[in-house]
Amino acid sequence: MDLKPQKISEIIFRERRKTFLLCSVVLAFLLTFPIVARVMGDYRGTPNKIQVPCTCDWATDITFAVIADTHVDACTTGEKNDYTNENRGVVDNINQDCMNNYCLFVAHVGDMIYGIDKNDQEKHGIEQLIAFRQLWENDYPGQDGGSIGDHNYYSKGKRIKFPVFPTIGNHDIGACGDNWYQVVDYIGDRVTYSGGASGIIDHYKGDTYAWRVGQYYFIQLGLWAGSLQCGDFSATDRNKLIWLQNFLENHVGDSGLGVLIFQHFGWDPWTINDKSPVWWTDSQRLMEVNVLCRRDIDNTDPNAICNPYNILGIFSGHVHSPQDLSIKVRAGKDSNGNAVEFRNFSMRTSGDTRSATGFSIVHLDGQKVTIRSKNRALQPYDGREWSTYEAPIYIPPIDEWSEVKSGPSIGFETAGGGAAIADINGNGKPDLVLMNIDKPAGINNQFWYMIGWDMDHNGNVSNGWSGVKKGPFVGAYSAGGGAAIADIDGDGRPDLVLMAIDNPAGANEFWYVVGWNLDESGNPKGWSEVKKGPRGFSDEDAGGGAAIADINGNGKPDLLFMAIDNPSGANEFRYVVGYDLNASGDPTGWSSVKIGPKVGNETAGGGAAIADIDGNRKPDLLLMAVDKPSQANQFWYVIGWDLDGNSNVSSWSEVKHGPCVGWSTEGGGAAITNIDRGRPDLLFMAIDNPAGENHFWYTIGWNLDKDGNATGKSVGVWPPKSWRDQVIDQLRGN
Amino acid sequence: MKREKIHLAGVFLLSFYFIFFPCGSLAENQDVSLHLWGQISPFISGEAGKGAGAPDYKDAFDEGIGAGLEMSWRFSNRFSLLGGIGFERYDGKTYKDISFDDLKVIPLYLGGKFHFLPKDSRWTPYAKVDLGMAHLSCVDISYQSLKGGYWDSSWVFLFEVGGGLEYRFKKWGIGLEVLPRYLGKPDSVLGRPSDAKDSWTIPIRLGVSYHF
Repeated sequence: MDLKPQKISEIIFRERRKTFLLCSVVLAFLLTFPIVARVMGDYRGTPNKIQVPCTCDWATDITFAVIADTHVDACTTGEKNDYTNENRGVVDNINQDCMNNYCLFVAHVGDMIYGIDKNDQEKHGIEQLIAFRQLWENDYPGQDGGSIGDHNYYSKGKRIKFPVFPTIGNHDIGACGDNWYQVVDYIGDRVTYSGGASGIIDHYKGDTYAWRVGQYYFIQLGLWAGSLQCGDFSATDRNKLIWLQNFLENHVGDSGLGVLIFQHFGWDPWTINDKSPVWWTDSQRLMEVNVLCRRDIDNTDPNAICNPYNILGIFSGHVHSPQDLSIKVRAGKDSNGNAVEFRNFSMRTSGDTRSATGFSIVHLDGQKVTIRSKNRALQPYDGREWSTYEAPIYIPPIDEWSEVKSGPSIGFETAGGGAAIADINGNGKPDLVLMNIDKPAGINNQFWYMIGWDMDHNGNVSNGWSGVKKGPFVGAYSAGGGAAIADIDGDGRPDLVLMAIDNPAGANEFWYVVGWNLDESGNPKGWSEVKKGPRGFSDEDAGGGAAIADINGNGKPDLLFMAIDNPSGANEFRYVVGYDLNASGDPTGWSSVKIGPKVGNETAGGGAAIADIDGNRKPDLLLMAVDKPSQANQFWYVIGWDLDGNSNVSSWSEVKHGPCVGWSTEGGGAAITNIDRGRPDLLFMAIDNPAGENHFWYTIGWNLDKDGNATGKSVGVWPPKSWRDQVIDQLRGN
Repeated sequence: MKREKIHLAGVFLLSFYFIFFPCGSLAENQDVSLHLWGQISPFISGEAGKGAGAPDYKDAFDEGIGAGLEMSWRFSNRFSLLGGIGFERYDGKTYKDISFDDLKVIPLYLGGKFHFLPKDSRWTPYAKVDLGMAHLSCVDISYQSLKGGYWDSSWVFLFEVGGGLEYRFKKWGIGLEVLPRYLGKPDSVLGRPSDAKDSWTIPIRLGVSYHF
């Protein structure tokens, strides 16, 4: 046999052909998979991510619906016990009742679909899941409606109009990876996979997740807080209990915000006493209660001290009927020896026609929970089918703004002020710098400042105030000032910029100094000379502000000065930006004067701060003016959205109003930082200038939302003290 | 705020003076009357604090008793103008071991009557509306040996509407009135725990009138 030696090029060509053929087959398979899958069998399709309702974080008025054990069963369609048809009726009722009651969502406590035995589940699981989707997925078909081409095949036009938050029950759980696992995967696609739907705060595997609406956290737990999502339903997943423990600790903590739990197994007599099988054991129930009581998961004493989260209710299903809203879960004793109990609301089935079916509409108003339940077996529907349960709840009050806090006294006459926040002493806690331009009679004005050490989460200075520190003199005609802190020279120590608006006859001018490298006591190593910024932005000013941020995005600090123009008539914000401060505190150039919104006729100080308030990674500019009518003064502010590299904003907010602040302000300041570990907090300062000594006053707008409004923080205590205990505490001076 | 309310009370007294100053010349027609009343308020309702287990007014105070003086000028066959002042006391109670001091109320009001029967009737049923201010005394509380303020003294808005019946014999008359009354909320001393809401009472007044 004559073997010809193969050329390398021939081998490559032949291999290329093989590779090309292989790729073609793979590509063809991928492209035709839906068709092939349809021919070969069912597939569940892909839903859109669920839409978590968006409300204000301080909202207490929330309504939602709860359904249980829908057991959507494609196999019984048209038969005597037509579960799918019953689901259609429930969907229809919920749509109508939820429209009337402004529901935000529907929570499902498991057993979404039905299976008679393992074999039947294997055979029809996906078909039933698609039937569930058609009925209970408000934006079905989503990305892909699954292998049933007719999107109304099972729903027959009865589709829920509200997002349904599902979790699994024992009928939805199968061996990991088998057809039944498609239910968990469906929940994953809808809610938890790929980082979770927007608004899902945290999740554990596929079926366990949490979201927040207003002042309430909602947690879906699958069968119970320690159940597996596939495989042996009687086993315990300790990591899931730890997840819940961490979630409650990190997100709820001592806030006292309400927690509502949804799970399939409850404390109803049937579920806890049934022996064939044992659904969940005493020790498993105790483990869940331990987590809700902040106890060790393995605690075995059911009477141990319980320091509970504000659990407003545990909604469960599984029992089908009767509905029981009076189940108490004994959780131990509080530190005063009083019994702690959680409420377990056992829901009736929403699909099993062998029982009385129905659903519940839950309304929370911050003071009570009202559960209106519909029993669909009580026909005709003349009102008798509804029953109402009511119980008091407690949600700690929320304050959007802190009280106006009294700072130290400083000087007798003031010509402006400023506020800045930074960790000056390096202990990880924010320190508050308040500046005052002292204005003695007949001589030059002088920068004075004080530092409040270590602000706590309530905005109080926890480690006292420094003495008055005196900076350079700054002319005799100041009309407003500002303060900002940043590491300008890049040596790792904060530098303090103090600005005063020089206000002689004629055009005004920004003057500023830099206090280099503040030490841990807040003293600079040295002061720069008085530097002069732009001139001619106005002839009369009634306040100013300063802020430092990288506005043009080149990594170098830019310096923004604001002045409040004070002509006869309406006042107006104006600002300039000095770009790319060098190590001497000089910019490479100044922007033109930018004109902001008008802000009242009488102003007594102002402030400026820069932060990404709306979270779009572009700096936003907040400008504050202390409005000074004949009586109470008030903080007013505007936000310029998305400063660009030329220091122009894309738009301005309307003028927003903060708290009132005395009658005789002469100077103010503004700063933005995280004080309470939530979203950015807004600090406003005013210098009260009565006859006699002046005082710094400040207030904090808690947790700015994307529109720049203070959304508030919890100011109550949890567990709540009774009226009697609060009164006695106060009489004792606590 | 408190200063404003004191000013309002002053304005009220001046109005009272100017309304009834000219009445002397009308006295011959027995259009002007002086009414001395005694009152019992069987209950006072509303929240007297905030927090779990906070009391209502009825938990903190017994029913009130009081007395007052009212001057009325029947300037037409069917209508009268009136003004009055009173003093009421609601005895404090002990609620959840916290003892409340008495609450004293000084109502100061101007109002009007609509008479259902003409002037010369012996029986005079009428409807009545009063508007004014009421001074609420400060209220202290005590618990064991501890004592402190609960509400500060304050001027609050007063509104009462109701009806009554008077029986005339010559220059004298006796009458009974029922006047559901709204009072504004007192000023808190303790913050949230003593942050009360407005209150409602239904005073029942029995009185003697002299017409001159």
